[in-house]
Amino acid sequence: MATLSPIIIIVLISIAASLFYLLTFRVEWRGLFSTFFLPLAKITPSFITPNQITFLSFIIMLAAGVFIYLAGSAPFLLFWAAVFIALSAVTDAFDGFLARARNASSKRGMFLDYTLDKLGYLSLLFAAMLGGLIKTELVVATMVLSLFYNIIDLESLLLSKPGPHLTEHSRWVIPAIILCLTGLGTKSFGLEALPVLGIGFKVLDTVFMVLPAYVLSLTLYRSIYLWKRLRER
Amino acid sequence: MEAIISSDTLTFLCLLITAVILFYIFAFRMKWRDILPIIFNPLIKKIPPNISPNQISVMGLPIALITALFIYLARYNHYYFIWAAISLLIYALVDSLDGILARARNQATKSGAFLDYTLDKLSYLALLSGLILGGHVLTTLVVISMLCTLFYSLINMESLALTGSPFPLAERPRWLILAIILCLIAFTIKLLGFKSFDLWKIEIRYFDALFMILPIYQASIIFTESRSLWNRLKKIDRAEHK
Repeated sequence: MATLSPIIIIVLISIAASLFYLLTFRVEWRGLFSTFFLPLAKITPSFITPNQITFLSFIIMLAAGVFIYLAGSAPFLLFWAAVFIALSAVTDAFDGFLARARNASSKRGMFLDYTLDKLGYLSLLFAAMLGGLIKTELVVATMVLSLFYNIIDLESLLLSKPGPHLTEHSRWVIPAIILCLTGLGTKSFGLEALPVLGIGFKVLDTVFMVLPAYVLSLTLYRSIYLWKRLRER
Repeated sequence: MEAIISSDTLTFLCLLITAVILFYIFAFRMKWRDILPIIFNPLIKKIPPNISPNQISVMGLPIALITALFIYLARYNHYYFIWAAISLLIYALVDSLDGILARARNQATKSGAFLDYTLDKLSYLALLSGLILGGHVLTTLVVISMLCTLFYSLINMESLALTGSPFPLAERPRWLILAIILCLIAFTIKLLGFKSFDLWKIEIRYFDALFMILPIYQASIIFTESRSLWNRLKKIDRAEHK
């Protein structure tokens, strides 16, 4: 416990700092990365294709899923899960950059990028469910709602802009990292269940509940907006 | 004695109907869209012009919710499965009526297509949640089926977006026929009083075994669909880079 507490304090400070940065300066992922991606893209040997990097990012995400699954017995693995999720996000951003730098961006790459991103998201949720970190009902509701949101998103893409294109933003990565670190904080301080009004109040479940609520509100907002725009034509 | 005879006759009828439907679908490759205009053409002219196709689309959702209620109630009385099958048939008719009406009036719009597609997915999810609440089938299987359906639509949407084809203005609800057949088979199973069988000393409920067809079928569809999409994209990529 004594060795852990400085690490936990550093982790909490880094969460606060990253949240502060993201909310105040609205840092753009892609703009931030492109500065050090450019030399990296030149170093990368030519036999490594962007699609292989996409697969690599998926495998890193699966490893993060394994860490989350095992975190029930060893809470500190959640920290490594957060690191791996961040690593996977960076790799995921790099493949698109590499493809554009080599002027080899392909439809297959877009398809692979999009599908594997969704599969990685689902596998993380699945691991959290199997590991018993979060209530099963909540995880299932989040899975269904997120897939439904993605369908609505693609529908609006198809209906409003003709022509072949598919863009992908993995916006869920930052909430996933924050959730992992929150889980680590609650587990190491022993704050898993707080007695509030005599009810066992599970902190991680409650923090997680923000996710389905956010996705639901986003789905409703997007579908109402799309409906209004389509009616205007 | 009379009750037993009537239930036996009903069973026989149900099996007969299922067999006939299956035979038709597989032998003649019956197509919804070819047959429905014959039924609907006289009906379309009678619909007053102040009822729009979108209103008919929205009407499908309450019907699906009623079907889900019937499926839930079937835990108390298995005759509700018959009612569920009937209301599913009504849902299928209403669902295709809106598209036919829109095309007959030359009003096929993008907003109508969006509404049709989204409500179709929502009503499918409503039916499956009725199944979960009724406790007929293992919840895990139903949830897997939900996720598979949504993922399949996602792959479908991706394929439309990547190949640049427009949003389909008329979607064929393929799952409806399957759902009706499943309802009728479920009714027959309950009527005959079958509950579970032993498979290598594991007790398996007939409903679970029956429902397991759905996720397996959906997973195979997802697999074949994404493979064919991959091959199509390969051709497109090669054409672009030459």
